[in-house]
Formats: sequence, structure tokens, C-alpha cells
Amino acid sequence: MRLLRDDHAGLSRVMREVDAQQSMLQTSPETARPVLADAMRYLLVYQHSVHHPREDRLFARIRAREPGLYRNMDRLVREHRSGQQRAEVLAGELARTTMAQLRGKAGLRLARQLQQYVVHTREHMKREEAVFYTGSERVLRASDWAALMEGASQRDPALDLNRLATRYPRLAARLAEAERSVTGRGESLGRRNAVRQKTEHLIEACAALVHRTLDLARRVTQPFRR
Amino acid sequence: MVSWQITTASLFSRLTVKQLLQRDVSVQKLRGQIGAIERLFPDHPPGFEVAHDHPLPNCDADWLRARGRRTDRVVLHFPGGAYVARLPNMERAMLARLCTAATARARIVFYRLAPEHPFPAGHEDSVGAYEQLLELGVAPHRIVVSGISAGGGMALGVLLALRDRGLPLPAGAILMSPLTDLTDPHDGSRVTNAVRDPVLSHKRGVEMRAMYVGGETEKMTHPYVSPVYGDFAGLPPLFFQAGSTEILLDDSRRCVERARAAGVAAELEVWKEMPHGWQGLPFVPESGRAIDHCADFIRERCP
Repeated sequence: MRLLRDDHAGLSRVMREVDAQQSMLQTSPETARPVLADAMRYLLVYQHSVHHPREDRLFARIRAREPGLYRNMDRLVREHRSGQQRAEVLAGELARTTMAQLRGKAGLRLARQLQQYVVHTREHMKREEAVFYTGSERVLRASDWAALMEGASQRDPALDLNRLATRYPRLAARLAEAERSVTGRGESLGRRNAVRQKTEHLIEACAALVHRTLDLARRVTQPFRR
Repeated sequence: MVSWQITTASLFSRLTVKQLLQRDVSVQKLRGQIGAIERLFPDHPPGFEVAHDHPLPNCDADWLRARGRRTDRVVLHFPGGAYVARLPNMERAMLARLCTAATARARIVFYRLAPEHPFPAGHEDSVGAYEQLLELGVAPHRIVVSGISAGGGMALGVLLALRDRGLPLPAGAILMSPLTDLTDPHDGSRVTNAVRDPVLSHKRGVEMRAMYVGGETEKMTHPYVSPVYGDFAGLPPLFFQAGSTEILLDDSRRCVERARAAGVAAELEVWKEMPHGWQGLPFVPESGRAIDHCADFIRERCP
């Protein structure tokens, strides 16, 4: 169970980065795409190919011990398959789409799909934790765990940045950085922001003037109100 | 693109909260006016139970638990409010969203406020709340400490104190737009973002900060008051979030720098164009995303 939980820790770390990078895909595709490509490869090679089969075997053991325990176990298995298919499609699109296309509507669409993938993955993890993880420790026996752990030596590379760097260098380099910028999708900086800042400045000055006038009016009228 | 909700919230704050913080009003009036914002939030977040079991000796503390969901992850949260005011309903609503996203329960510590109770009263309440969790049998590796604004500074101060006392440390800490330097240096983001920040202003900062230390300004550089001056060695992983327009942005940056120099895993997310404490605004899409990132951190540190 510890192994499965660690897998979710690594997955959560990568999900955070995928969400941050997808928001910059349209405006900075040259930096976001390589990181996202590494992240999708990690998801397909480790999470979908190693972690989910592990969980599927666990589901099967639980079903054998207590068939009526969880009604949504089939749903979780189905989500593993659909998640993998979605990740394969996204990785393919990411590789095929040109930089120029990423700066346009295709980039925006792909960013939305990546965000949806992140949302689905987080929801799936929550369902597994809330319903499944707590119960399996009660239902399964030592022999079940021993059988499940047979040949399960592979550890999540996302838990160790040095190990991650050997296979997914751009993702590892990004995760090692002290600061990351997170934006809304299609964030445009520059002239529009400069105009916005000037408007904000003006609004603030007007608001301050109104508040000061109100304060003064209150002070002046105070003796009469008494 | 920044959402229309955050643009509206920032404009509203620029016209009201920021003006209020710049004006010469009493603490009572400040509390009253900030408290009016509370009407936007329900007493109890839907689907959550607010319990008052395990009271603390000197301050209130809530348990926030999702109905019908069991979990051993605990978020120990310290509210914001410049150490003089607070918005309990807003904090509960934010924590409920965090707990839902991270499958956790929360303990919110309403530490004593200045000027009635200057430092170290609130700090001792907060450290006591962590010690109580350990006494209740909660494993330290299942606890993540969190705080927003002044609560973020409080959370860091608590971590430093726990380390100094040799207590087992929590799994990590989430610091949302933390106030970590009460000496209020007039450089960096405090100057460059003075106009851009739609919430905070340091026009009345001197007075408010003096209240927290009971007028003893020499305490402002104490690491439990201004954690940025502390030694971060040995602290658990730290996750900072701050908005790019905040005057407090550099408070986070400097802490991350110091923490990493001391060998602590620390990272900062700078959210473009977000105002101070946007994580607490439930109707803002960027708030939901930021809370999800915090939940990812919790899942990462407490698998």
C-alpha cells in the first residue's frame, strides 16, 4: 500500500507541473512543450503502465475477498483505461502540433484538454483514496500483499529528481527550480497590461479621493449629528 | 488571461479594502468593516461539520471534517488578518475546499490577536495547537501546516519554534501569500508593487506591526515574528504561493532563497496578476486552481 501511495505522491507532483505548463503552452510553447512532452512520457511509461496495473491487481484481490465491498471498482478500472487512451492522444498531439499552431487556437484547445486530463486524474485519485485505499488495508490478508508485491520492485522515478533526470531531463530540471510562474490560459503581457495598470492607478486615486471626502464630510457634520 | 471574476474582485478590493487599510481607523472599526465581508460566506461550509472538541486553553480552534469521509491527513491552519483581525467563515470555506481536494480534515487555530494580546501570545497558542495534535495521537508525518497572509508568517514561526524545541516536525507547510518580514523593508516588491497591489498598502503598516509586538519594535527581527530572519535548516518541505502584484511577493522569494540555501526543499509559485490572498475567494477560478495545487502538495508530502 505504501508503494501505491508513493505513486500518488509522484503523480501529484507531476500534475501540479502539467497544470502550470499547460497555462503557458500558447504563449511560451518553446519552454512549455518539452516539459509537457516529458511529463506525458512519464505518465505513459510509469503511471499508466506500472502503477495502474498494480492497482488493477489490487482491485481483483479485493473483489475476490469481498465481492460486494465497492460498487465503483469497475469504474476505477475503466478510468485507468480511458486515462491511458487520453494520455496517448495528448502526447501524440503535443508531438505533432507545430510551434506556430501552438501559438494559435490549436494551442488553446490542447491546453484545455491537458487541464481536463489533470482534473480527471485528480478526481480519480480522490475516488481511489476515499473509497478504496482505506478499505483494502482491512480486507486484504498478508498473503494477498505478498502476492501483490511479487515483482513490484519498480519505484516511481518522480520521487527522486536525480533518477527522474536520467529519463525525463526537462521535467526534472523544471521540478528542481525554486520558482515557477503560473498564469491564466493565453496570458498576454505587455501593452494591454500597461494600459490596465494605468487605469488601476487612476481608479485607486479616485477612490482615495472619494474616501477622503467622505471622511471629511463625516468630521464636519459630526457636531450637528450629536 | 485573468478571469473576469478576479478582475472584479481586484477592483472591488481596490475601492474598499485597500482604502480601508490606508485610512486612519481604529482596530475595532477595521475589524467591523472587514467582518462585513464575512456575510458573503456561510457559517458552515456545505457538506462539512465544524466541531469544537479538544479546546485549547487560550483561544478557539475548530475541527473541519467532511461528512461521511474518513482520513488521517490533517491540515493545521493559521488564519490571516495582519494579526489584528480575521475572517473565520472565509477561512473555513477555503479550508473546506482544500480538505475536499486533498481528502484531509483541518484544524483551524484562532490564535489570540493583537493589540489585546501581543507577541508571543498568538505564537504560543499556535505552537500549543500543534503539540495538542501530537498528544491526540496524530502522527507528525500526517500533518501539513498551512497559513494565509499573516497566518503564513505564523506557520513559519511555528515551524522554527518546533524545530528549536526538538519536537517532531510536520510533513510540510503551505504558505499562501505569507507575511514573513515585519520590519517592512522599503525595497523590492514592497515598492515596485505598491500601486499594483489591489489589497494591501503599507501606509498604516508601522502602526499595525507595532501592535503585534506590543510596541517593542526590537522584536520585529525575532525569527518567530519575522521568519525571514530565521535559520531554516532542518525544516520540512515548504510550498509558497504568491501573486505577482503583491507587495509581499518578496517575502516569499526571500524565504525560499534562505530555505534552499539551508538545504530545505522549498518552492514558490508566482501567480500572474493575482491579488493578495486570492486563494480565499471561492468564486474565482484561479482560486480553485491554486487550492488544487496546494492539495497536490499535501498528497505529495502525505501520500
